[in-house]
Amino acid sequence: MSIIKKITNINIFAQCRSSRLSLWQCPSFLFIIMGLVNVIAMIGTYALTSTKYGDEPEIAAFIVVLVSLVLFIIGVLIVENFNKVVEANRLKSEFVSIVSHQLRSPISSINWTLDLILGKRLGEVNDKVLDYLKSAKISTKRMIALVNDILNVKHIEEGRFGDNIKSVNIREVVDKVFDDLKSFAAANNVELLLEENVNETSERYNKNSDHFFVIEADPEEIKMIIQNLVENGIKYIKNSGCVKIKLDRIESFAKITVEDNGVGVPEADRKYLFQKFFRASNVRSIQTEGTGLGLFIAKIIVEKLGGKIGFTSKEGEGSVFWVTLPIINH
Amino acid sequence: MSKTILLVEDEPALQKVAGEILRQEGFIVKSAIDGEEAIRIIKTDKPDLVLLDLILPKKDGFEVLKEMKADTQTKDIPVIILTNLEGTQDIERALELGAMNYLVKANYELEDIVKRIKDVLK
Repeated sequence: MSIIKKITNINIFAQCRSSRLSLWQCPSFLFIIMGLVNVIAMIGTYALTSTKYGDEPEIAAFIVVLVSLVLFIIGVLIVENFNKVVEANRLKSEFVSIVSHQLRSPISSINWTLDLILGKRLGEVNDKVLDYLKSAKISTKRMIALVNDILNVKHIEEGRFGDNIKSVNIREVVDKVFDDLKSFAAANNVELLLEENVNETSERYNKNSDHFFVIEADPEEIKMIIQNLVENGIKYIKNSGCVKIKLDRIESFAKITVEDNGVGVPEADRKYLFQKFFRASNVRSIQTEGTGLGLFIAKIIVEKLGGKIGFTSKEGEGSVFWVTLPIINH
Repeated sequence: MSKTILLVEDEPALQKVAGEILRQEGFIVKSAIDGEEAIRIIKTDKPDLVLLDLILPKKDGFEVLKEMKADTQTKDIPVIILTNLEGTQDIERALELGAMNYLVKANYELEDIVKRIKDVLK
């Protein structure tokens, strides 16, 4: 079924349009043409040779040579255009890398200059100016986060990210994130709670064994996912509230749940939440800091590791985001 | 006596800002804008600490680090890397070459950097 579904889902024209290629430069279209030429030629040859030209093998041979030639030309076109696509992808990657790295120096210099002024190290500043400089500082921090996230996305898309695979104890990562974000939560009037659940299914395992929450992954990646979820929970609480991090073990999976009583995700936005650069309509106004890349990055990493990510939410009441990750040696 | 810090940084705006805060904190600040100048100053002035960028003209930060660690006169001077390169390989390479600390410019506030410098010089 899934193969049939895949075939019916192929829309060559849309694919070529989205890659901004003309039809004759688009490998998927050329493949179809190649297949069609092949099939038509075979049927034609069969029809010709089985009827009136059946006694003249040189005609069949001529047709075969002709068809081979056409297929060869289409083949060359395909390879050439594949190479162009690969080259364009390499250039895009290089471009992103250069832009992001080059951007970081001037951003750092603006950021540090603002630090000097806001820290009153260059003399007194009046309150109005200070207020505007604080806004500038927030924008600068956002720009830094954006450049960092773009670089992360690039590394992930190139498969360069997460090459430091080792055994990671999720319990330790959760503890670290909890400690790191405690003061950030307090500054936002949010109470941060941490609980570890031992439910019925997990009682079969020795919860204190070293392997209870150990997975194979890049520790930085795991930290990034959990941190993203917890930071989102804290950021999207309007005045004050509570974010609860829970760690469960369900069969051979570790489950991390982050529950908040924040603004929630509007129903219309739910299906787009894991898309690159998407930010829900109700958070754009209250929280300007997000980049719209955190959940996109999290989803790629979780799925690469064989886990799942999802959420339930009620607008105005809060959200529950969860991640499952397969445990080794269970 | 005031301690001397060599600031190796090719971006003038960053030189200016970092130099200002370090002078305010009572350090004597020397500057180098490329790798060769950095090595010359390290050899002649023997600063108490080197703040080293990695992407530099003429000789990059890794080269500077390698050369100063190979010289018995300068090998004990602590080096803090302050750069915008952040690949795991770059970090590992710099630490293996003997850097004491590795800070990514964009991710640190100026005051944090000063604090780390003071910790090293304590």
